[in-house]
Amino acid sequence: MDSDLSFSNIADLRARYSRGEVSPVAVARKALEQIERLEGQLNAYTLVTADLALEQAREAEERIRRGDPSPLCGIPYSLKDIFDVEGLPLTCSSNVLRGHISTTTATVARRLAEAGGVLLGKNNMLEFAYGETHPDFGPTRNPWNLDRSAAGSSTGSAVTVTAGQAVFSIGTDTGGSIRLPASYCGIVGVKPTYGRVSRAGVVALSWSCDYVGPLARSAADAAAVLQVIAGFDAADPTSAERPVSDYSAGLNRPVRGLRVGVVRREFEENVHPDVRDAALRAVEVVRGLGVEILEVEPPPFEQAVLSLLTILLVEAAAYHRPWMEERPEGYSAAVLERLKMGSMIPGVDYVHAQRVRREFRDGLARVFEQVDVLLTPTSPGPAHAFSEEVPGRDFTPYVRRTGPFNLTGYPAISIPCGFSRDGLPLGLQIVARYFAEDVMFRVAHAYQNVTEWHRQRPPIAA
Amino acid sequence: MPEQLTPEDLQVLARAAGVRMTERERVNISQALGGFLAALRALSTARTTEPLPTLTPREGEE
Repeated sequence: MDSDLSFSNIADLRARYSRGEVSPVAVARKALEQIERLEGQLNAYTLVTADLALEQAREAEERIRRGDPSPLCGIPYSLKDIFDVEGLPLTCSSNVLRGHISTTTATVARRLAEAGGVLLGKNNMLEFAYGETHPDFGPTRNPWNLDRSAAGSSTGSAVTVTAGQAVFSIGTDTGGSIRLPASYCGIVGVKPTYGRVSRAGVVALSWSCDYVGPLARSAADAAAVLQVIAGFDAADPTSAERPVSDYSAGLNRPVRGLRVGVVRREFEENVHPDVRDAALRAVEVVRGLGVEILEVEPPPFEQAVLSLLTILLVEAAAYHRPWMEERPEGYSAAVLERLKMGSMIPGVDYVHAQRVRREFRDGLARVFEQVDVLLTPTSPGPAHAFSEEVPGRDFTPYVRRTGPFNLTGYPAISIPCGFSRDGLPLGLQIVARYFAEDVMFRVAHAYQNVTEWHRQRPPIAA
Repeated sequence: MPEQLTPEDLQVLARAAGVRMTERERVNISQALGGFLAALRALSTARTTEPLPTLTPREGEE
């Protein structure tokens, strides 16, 4: 079996399945081998569902033989361990949920299964998506450098895609938890518009800032996955009843003439020089695609992040309150302390944070009257060393460029745009108007058509 | 609530909220929360805050 099979894209795999050159069972076996080979070093999974994967791969093989047109039929993927799948353990990488078996299936997981996807397992994550590793679950390591973080909280999801163990994964993002791991690992991560993807069957962190989205190795693959998981779901009261564009069909539409906003200060303040240089070079590549580049000044992102973290702290504390009382020993000390901190925020400060949110959103809306998309670096720096992590650290600088769009609901994607001087991947964020994921994907795909950053593989995975 | 939050202040709040805290948690949270809330409160929300009426100055006020 060739090693390229571990890094094939969705369109190539489907074409090869249709021609009978390779089977979903062979691809699933290859993915399971890759997991077995690397899991001891990466720690990307809380559960590997090998038997289920092979069963689903055999079913997919039969469906393809019968002419099933689903683009994800027979494609191996994983889920962050925050999604319910009936009959499987759900841990959120916390001892609070040890022994819990889901009795329902998240809408997203059901849609992927109906599309013929092959579930390889569930991914390790930061505990309850709340910024800290539970010591019993351990850190997931960055495939580009095992001493470096893979960010979070969708840590295992990003790592498994980077290491060629899965073709795509599904994560959640409350302040950057899909886009930051994607940036740290050199892959693509998508946070869609609020309400675009159902959150039914997903453990909440902060319900007004939580999003579900794909992590993949290209914008085209992420678009194919979002196509399947997007759309109205009556089981999620925040789900949007709006039609879903054909993302894949629109990928090659021209970008010439689009107005692209650059938030200059986000390339200059509190950013590592390698990130700054790579992101500025990426802006020039985008300019070369024929778009019009405009410098824009949205309200300060750091203000939006203060609002986001206040709302997040309070909503998380409210959500977890019963478990904090009934099983506090199941949390890591750092997460329990953060939940208690959220319980201490006065109501008037929460209301103030909501007012800041409204004013920031209005200011951003004025910017989006001028431009079709915004560009910023994704993370302030390349992947940091584990030795730099301190429990309870301040997240404000870390989520500065991603959090504002959790607060306001705009869709955003992180795509690889280069490497630091010490060989770590870097990410560019593209933010689009509400429900304009098609435009976001189009710009990302056009960039990837003229660059090779998304094709780089960590040596450990070869 | 004062912007400099002491562990003792926090203990009162925690009791009212029904949250049990260790001494270490009280110290850590009081250190983190005081500065955080001060930064949040410094943000203007003039456009979304219902205005208070302009009051007649009290005796002795300009």
